[in-house]
Amino acid sequence: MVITPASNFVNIGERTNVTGSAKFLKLIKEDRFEEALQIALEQVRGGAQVLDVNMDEGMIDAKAAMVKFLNLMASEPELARVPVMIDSSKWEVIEAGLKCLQGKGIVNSISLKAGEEEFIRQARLIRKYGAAVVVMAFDEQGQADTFERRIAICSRAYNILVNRVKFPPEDIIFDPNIFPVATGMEEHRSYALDFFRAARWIRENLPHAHVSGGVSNVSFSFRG
Amino acid sequence: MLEEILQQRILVLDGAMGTMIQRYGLTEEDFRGDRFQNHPCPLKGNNDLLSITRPDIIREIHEQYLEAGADIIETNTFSSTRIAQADYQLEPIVYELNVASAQLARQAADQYTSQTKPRFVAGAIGPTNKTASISPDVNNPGYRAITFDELAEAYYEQVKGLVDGGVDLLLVETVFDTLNAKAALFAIQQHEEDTGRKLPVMVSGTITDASGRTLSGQTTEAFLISVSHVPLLSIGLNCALGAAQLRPYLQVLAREAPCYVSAYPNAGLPNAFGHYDQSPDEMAAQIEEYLKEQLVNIIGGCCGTTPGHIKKIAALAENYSPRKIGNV
Repeated sequence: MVITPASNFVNIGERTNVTGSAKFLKLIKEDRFEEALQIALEQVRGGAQVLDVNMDEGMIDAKAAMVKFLNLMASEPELARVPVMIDSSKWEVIEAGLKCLQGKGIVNSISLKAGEEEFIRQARLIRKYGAAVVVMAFDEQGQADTFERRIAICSRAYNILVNRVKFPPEDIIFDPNIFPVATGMEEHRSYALDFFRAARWIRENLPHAHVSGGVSNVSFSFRG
Repeated sequence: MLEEILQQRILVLDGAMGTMIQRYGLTEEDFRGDRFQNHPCPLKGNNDLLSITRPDIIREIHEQYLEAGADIIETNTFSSTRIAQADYQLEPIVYELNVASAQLARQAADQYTSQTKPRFVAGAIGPTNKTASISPDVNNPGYRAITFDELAEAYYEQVKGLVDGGVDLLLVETVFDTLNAKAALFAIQQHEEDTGRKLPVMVSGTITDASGRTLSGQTTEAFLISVSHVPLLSIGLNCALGAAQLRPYLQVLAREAPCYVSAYPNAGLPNAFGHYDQSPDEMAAQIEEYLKEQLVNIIGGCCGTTPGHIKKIAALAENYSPRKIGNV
């Protein structure tokens, strides 16, 4: 899988995510990994160019499940050619996942939530494992929800990564938080616009860095 | 200094160690020496151990390759990790084994070094006999016989021994599973951080057959991308194939690699008895195609190659200019 400037969107398959797919969650919980692997295959056959794998659920040993699933993916040629996005809010799960990838993976995600020191430590390790990284627009004060906060956090994170950690900027992907639209609340009315403005600002001001967004969040308020 | 020379000319790597050792027709007693007389398991075939029990032979082989014109010689440490040495119950001496082999190669290289032709020692780091990406159990594809952490720890011990023994660079070679190589590179980076000593790193992968893939299923390009997080001196291919069969995959690296490119193919493909019978002239003729196309910066030989092969290759390499970096 080679992404070039001529590539359009890169589609990330999100169904191999226990927080996003009830079916996948059920299969993992019941230790039916072979069937869970079919979901990954369906995603790839449906056009996913990266697979996001997430095992963060209270009832699951996320670390063990991540390792087991990634090892199974590696044994299936159709899946082994697709880069993996290791998705977890727990660093130990991310690190265990990185140790299973022979190819170049993507970590989803790290942020400045726990301060600079921890951010730098994790970024250095990701570099040593040879992966790219998604950085959430999140800092010690919380999640960025305005245009100004988004660009302030992303540029701070960019400077730390590029100048201090020597992280290659082309391996940084910012996630400037897609929030739900049409919530009906006055203070949420500029959410969509702020995301787009932040995405453009990142592309114009943080050389070589990429932008990703969890589009599924947009529709939260439309759920019945 | 190494980088300066690489900009000017093609460097020559040595040839096979195992092929040369076989010629001596060594016995179990040779492998044991005095020190391992009472060792509980057979040691014949543990070629790396000869650096301790028959250093005279290993030194002599190094010298033959230096005499043939090799600029870089590889330490006799292909299997000097505690993972590979477990087959011989020799885990406790792994560090010592690496130091001894590095010192032997160092002494030989220094003896042949001149103002106009400095010689370098590459610490050879093999793949081990276990694979982190492939299950050895067909009924359980998720199973692994070795973990990344176990590999990284074993490689760290090897790297420490090689660096302490005085090597000039590190060569992660015969990579059939890129995850094993990534564990070696992790260990090398950790060692750099811990000691502040940074050596140039070469990585050389193995394309197992005409499918154009490593044993763990990667194409040449995927292999390159998977190890490109480490600033490498060179990336290349070795083993499994002869020079002619290796050429299309080498062309990929020559086109894409942001660093120098190396190749050390086998002396053709093995015959029905597992022996390599491509002559130095035959192999050199195939290597000359690489040189004409400017595919390489570092060239040598793997299984079946001898000082005779390296001598021919070294003579040829003098007549051609190296591949240029920076056109990617």
